[in-house]
Amino acid sequence: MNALDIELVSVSKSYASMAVVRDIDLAIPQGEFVSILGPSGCGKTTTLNMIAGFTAPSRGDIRIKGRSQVRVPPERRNIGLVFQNYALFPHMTVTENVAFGLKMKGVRREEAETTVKSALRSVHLEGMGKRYPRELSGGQQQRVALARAIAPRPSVLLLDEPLSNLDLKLREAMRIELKDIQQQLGMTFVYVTHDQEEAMAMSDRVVVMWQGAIAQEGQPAALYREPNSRFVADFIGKSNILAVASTATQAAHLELAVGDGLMLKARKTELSAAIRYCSIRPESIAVLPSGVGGNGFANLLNATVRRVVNLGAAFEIDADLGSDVRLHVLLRATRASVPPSVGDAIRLGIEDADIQPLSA
Amino acid sequence: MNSLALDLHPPARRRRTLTWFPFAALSPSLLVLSVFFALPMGMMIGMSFTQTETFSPTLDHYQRFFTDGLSIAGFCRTALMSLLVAISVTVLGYPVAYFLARSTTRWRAVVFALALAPELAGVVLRTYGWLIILEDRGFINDLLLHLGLISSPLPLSKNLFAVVVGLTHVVLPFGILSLMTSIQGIDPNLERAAQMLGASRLAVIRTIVLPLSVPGIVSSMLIAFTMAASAYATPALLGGAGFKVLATMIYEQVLFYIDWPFASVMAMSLLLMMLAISFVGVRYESRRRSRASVSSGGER
Amino acid sequence: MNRLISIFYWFSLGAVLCFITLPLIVVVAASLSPTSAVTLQPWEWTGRWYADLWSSRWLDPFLASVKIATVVAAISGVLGLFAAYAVVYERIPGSDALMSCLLSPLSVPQIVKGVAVVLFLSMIGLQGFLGTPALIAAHVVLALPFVTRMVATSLANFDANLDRAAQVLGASKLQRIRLVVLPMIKPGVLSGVTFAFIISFNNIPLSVFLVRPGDSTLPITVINYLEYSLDPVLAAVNVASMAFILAVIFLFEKIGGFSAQLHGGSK
Repeated sequence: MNALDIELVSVSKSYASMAVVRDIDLAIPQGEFVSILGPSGCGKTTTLNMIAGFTAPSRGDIRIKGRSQVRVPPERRNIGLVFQNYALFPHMTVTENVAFGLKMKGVRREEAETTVKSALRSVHLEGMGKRYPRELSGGQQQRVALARAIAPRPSVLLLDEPLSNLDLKLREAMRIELKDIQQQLGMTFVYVTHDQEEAMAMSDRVVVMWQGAIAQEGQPAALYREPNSRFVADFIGKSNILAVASTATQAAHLELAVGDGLMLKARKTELSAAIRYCSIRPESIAVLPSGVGGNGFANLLNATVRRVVNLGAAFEIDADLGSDVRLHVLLRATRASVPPSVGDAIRLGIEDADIQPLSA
Repeated sequence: MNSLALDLHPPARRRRTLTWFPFAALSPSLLVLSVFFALPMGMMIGMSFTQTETFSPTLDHYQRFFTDGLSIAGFCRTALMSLLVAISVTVLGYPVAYFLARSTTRWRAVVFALALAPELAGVVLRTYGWLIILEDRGFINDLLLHLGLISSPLPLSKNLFAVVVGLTHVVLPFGILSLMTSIQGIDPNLERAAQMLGASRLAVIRTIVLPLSVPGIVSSMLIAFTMAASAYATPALLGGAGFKVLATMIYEQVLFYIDWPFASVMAMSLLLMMLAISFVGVRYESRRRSRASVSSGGER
Repeated sequence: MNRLISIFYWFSLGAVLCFITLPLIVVVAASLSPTSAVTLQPWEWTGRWYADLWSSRWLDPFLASVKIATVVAAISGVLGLFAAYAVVYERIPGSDALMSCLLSPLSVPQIVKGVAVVLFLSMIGLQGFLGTPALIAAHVVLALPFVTRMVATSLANFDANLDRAAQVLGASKLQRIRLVVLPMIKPGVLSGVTFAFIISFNNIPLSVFLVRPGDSTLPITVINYLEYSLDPVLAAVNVASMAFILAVIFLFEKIGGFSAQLHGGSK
C-alpha cells in the first residue's frame, strides 16, 4: 500500500452551534490527484483551510505523512496552496514570487535560482521572471501561482478552485496541463472545486461533499455510473431522477413503480434501505422509431416528443411518457441520426443496468 | 490517536508569543488620546458645570448662556450661517459633481484638479483672496466704482455675506466629492432609458438624477454644515467684529475675557449643535439602509 | 428647451469653476503686484514681496511650522500604523469599539478640542507647555484619527490571501508583516503621513489657542497680521507656503505614495 500523505480522522468543525464540517474521514495516498467536489457552502473550503492550517478543527485529527498537524501552524506544514484569485504578491516580480517560499526555507541562493527556473519551465513561463504579476494575463498569473506553490517542493499541493477565474477555453487547456504537471512531479494534489466536469477530468478520485459531510467518494467513472444518492446523481452530470412509489422484487428484476403507474425494470441491488428514487442518464436512453425493434431492452416505453433542443453535438429531447413522467434524452448527432420532431410518437429503450435505484 | 483538538488552542504557536503585542501596539495611541483628548474634554465639561470660587456643581453658566442675549444670538447666527453655507455648497457643487461623475473626456481631470486644488492651499490663502476681493477698497468695489456703477463701496465684507462666500469656497470641494460619489452610483443607463421614453433633459434631471442623488445631497449638506459651524479662521477674518459666530466668541472668551467656564459652555453648545446634526445624518442613513434592505428583500 | 438647459448647465459649471479659482488667482496676482493696495490698476510684475520673505519674521514661523508638522506626521504615522495594525490586522477583542474610540476625536470640532486642551494645561499648571510641545500634542490628537483611518482602510482592502499565501510558503508572522503587509499598505501609510503633515502645517483652530509669542506657527502669524492689513507680502507668504505644500506632496508621491496605490493591489 502507498504511504498515506494526508489523513483526516473524523474531522469536524462548528462555529458557535453551526456544524460546517461533520465527521470527515479521508485518507489520501501519496501521488494521488483527489478532488473535493461540492456546491458552495458544502464545507469543502473549510476542509481545505483545516488541511492548510488556517482553521483549527473542532474535533478530530489531521495528519500529514503520519504526523498530527493540529498544533502545527500553516507556515510549518510544508504544504503548497494555489488560491482562486492567485494571491500573487503584486510588489514582487514573478521570480521573487516563486522564490519566496525557498527564501523562507533558507534555501541557498544558487540553489533557489535553479529551482525557480525549473519551476517556471514546468509551467511554461521561461523568460517571464522579470515581469510583475499585473503585466501578465490571467492564465499566466495562474501558472505563476502554481510555480510558486510547487517550487518549495511541498508534500501536498492544495488547489482552491484555481481555474474558476479563467475563460472556458483556457480552463479546459489548463485542466490537461495541471494533470500533466501533477504526474510529472508525482505530487499529491488536493483540488477543491464546485465544477464537476473539472473534477471528473483530472482526478484519480473524487470526494463529493454535501452539507458538511462526504456524500460519496470514488473514481470519477464509478461515481458517474453508480451514484449513491439523488444529490450525487444530480450534481455529477445530468440525470433524470424519478420518484419511486413502490418496489417489487421479481425473479430476474427489480420493478420500480414511478409516476402514475409506470413500471421500470432495474437490476436487483443490495440496497437495504427502501428505494425512494431512481436515476437514468439521458445518454443511456435509446430513441427507437415507433413500432419496430428494440427487443434487446429491458424497458421499452412509448413516448411523445415535447421539445427538441439542438446542442450541436447532440439533441436533447424532452419526452413525455404519460403517467406524469418526463424524460430528458440525449441523442448523439451523427450523420445517420435524424432527430424526431415535436409531437412525434417514439419509443425509448432503457437497459435495466442503466436504471440506478437510490435510497436517498 | 484521536487527539481532541479544541478550537481554543491557537493553530500557530508563534502567534501565542505575540498575543501581547497588538495590545502594546495599540496602547500609545489610546494613551495619547486619553491624555490630550478625553481628559481635557472631561475637564472642560466638568468646568461648565462648576462654580468658579466654591467648586460646587452649578448650572449658573448655562443659565447665563440662555439669558444673556448675545450668546443665543451667536448660536443662532452660527446655525443660520452654516445652513446657508450648506445650501450654497450643495447648489454650486451639484453641476461640478455631475460633470465629474459623468464625463469621460480628458477635461474631467482638469475640472477635478481645479475643484480640489484649493483644498491644498489652506484656509488662510483662500480667505485672504476673498478679503482682497470683497474689501471696501477691494477688487469688486474697485471695479464697480471704476465703472461708475456705484458711488460708495458696497458693504461686502465684515458681514454674513462675506463669511458665507468664504466658507462656501472652503467647504465646496468636500460637497463636490460627496455629491460626485452619489451621482456615480446612479446607473447612467437609467438616464438613457428615461430619454428613450421621451423625457427631456430637464425631466431626466428632475425625475431620475435628483431623486436618486438625495443621499448625496443630504451628506453634502451635513458635511458642509458641520464644517461651517466649526470653522474659525474664515469667520474671524471675513466676519471680524461685525459678524461673530460661536467659534470666534469662544476664542474671545478664552483669550480676552479669560472666562473659562463660559467658554466651556459655549464650546458645549457648539459641540451639541454638531452632535445633533451628525445624529440627524446617522438616523437618515440607517433609515435609508433599512428601507433599502426591505425593498431588496422583497425582490428575493 | 434642451438647448437652454444645456447652456445653463455649462454656464453654471464654468461659473462655479471661476468661483473656485478666483481667490487663488487674486492672491497670486497680489503677490506679484508692486503697489501695496490691491487694485485693478495696470501693474508691473515685481518679485520684491517674495524677496521680503527671506527674513526671520517669516522664516522663523515657517521653520517652526515645518518642525511641528514633521514631528506630528512622524508620531501620528507610527501610532496610527500600530493602532490600525492591532485593530484591523490582529482583530483584537472589541476591535469595533476600539476603532470608534480611536476615531472619536473626529466628531469634536477643532475649536472645542483647542479650548479643552488649553483649559486642561492651564488647570494642571502646565502653561509652560504652551507653544511647540502643546501644538505637537494637539496636532497629533487631530491627525491621528485620520492616519489611523487611512491605514485601517488600506489594511482592510489588503487581500488576506496574500498573507495566507506567504504563510503556507513558510513565512513567520514577522516575515509576513515585513515582506508582504507593510509593502502592500505603504501607499496608505504614506498618504496618511502626508495628510498629517498638511493638516498640521495649515492648522489654525487648534493652534490659535496654543501658540506663544515668539513660538508661533506660520498660519497663525499670517492671520494675526491679516487682521491689520492686506500687505501683499502676505500674498507672497501664502503662495510660497502653498508651493511648499505641493512640494511636500510631490516628494511623498515620489517615495511611492498615492499613484502607486493605483498600480498596487492584486485586483
